[in-house]
Amino acid sequence: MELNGNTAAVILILFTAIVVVLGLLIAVRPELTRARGGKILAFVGLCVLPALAVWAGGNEHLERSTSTRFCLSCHVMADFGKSLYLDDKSYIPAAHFQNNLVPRDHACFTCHTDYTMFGDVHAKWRGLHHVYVQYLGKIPKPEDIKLYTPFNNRECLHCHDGMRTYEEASPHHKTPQQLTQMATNQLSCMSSDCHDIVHEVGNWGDATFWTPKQETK
Amino acid sequence: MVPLIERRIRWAGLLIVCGLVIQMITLIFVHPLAFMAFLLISCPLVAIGILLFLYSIVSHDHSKSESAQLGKSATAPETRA
Repeated sequence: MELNGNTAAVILILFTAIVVVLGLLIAVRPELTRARGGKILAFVGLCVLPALAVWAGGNEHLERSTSTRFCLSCHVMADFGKSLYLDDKSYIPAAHFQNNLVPRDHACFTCHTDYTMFGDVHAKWRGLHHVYVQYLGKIPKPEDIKLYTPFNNRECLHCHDGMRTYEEASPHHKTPQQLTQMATNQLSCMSSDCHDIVHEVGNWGDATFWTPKQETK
Repeated sequence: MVPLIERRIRWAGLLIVCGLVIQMITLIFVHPLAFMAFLLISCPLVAIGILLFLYSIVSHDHSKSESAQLGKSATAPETRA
């Protein structure tokens, strides 16, 4: 059972159970619909409430699919999850995760979604492809997993754009037009020898790992 | 004999119940397979159930059923007699 602390899911399950009972009642006793009240009951129980339950269920599942636990539930992603605990701030994902620069519960999604109008849809589509590969395709080695396209600065600037530490950092002013080049993705944050140490799965050597104090208790 | 509309409503109810039960099970787990089961099994079952219910309503010929009921009530005193 994975419902610990998820009140919304518990409420949704209870609501769905009520709709199931109502649906079952109408399915077992369809003659109820002969009366006017029965017709209204059938419309609510077989149309309005099921649609509401599925809509709410879909929302809950979509919300869950953005969680770190969801992303790391496939074995092949375990090392990527481990990389978030590397005790070395030069690793960008680890530095962001450990310093709460991204919400820890949604760490993967925060950096790997596209911040565009249909970015979440694209992210979900890529996720479906991952599920296909996981269960029906050939699973690659963790160190062979690469991004489909180079990381777009847009995803970094979604948070960093306008930040004083970002705009005033001297490495971001090597040339007068550097900030503009980064904003227009002409100069990559990741692949311009600046912030190019990311998950680096398989290349950790004798790295040590950070243990959060709450987890040691 | 069970009228056609009631048979359809029964089927619609069963499909919806099946879909919602699967949804309840998937909501217990935080896993891609739970998401897929919801998307590929639960949603279609409920959608088909709702559509079948709506179809059963709109395709139901009220005039026939009303005349049948009237016929019943008209013949009832004769049979009694």
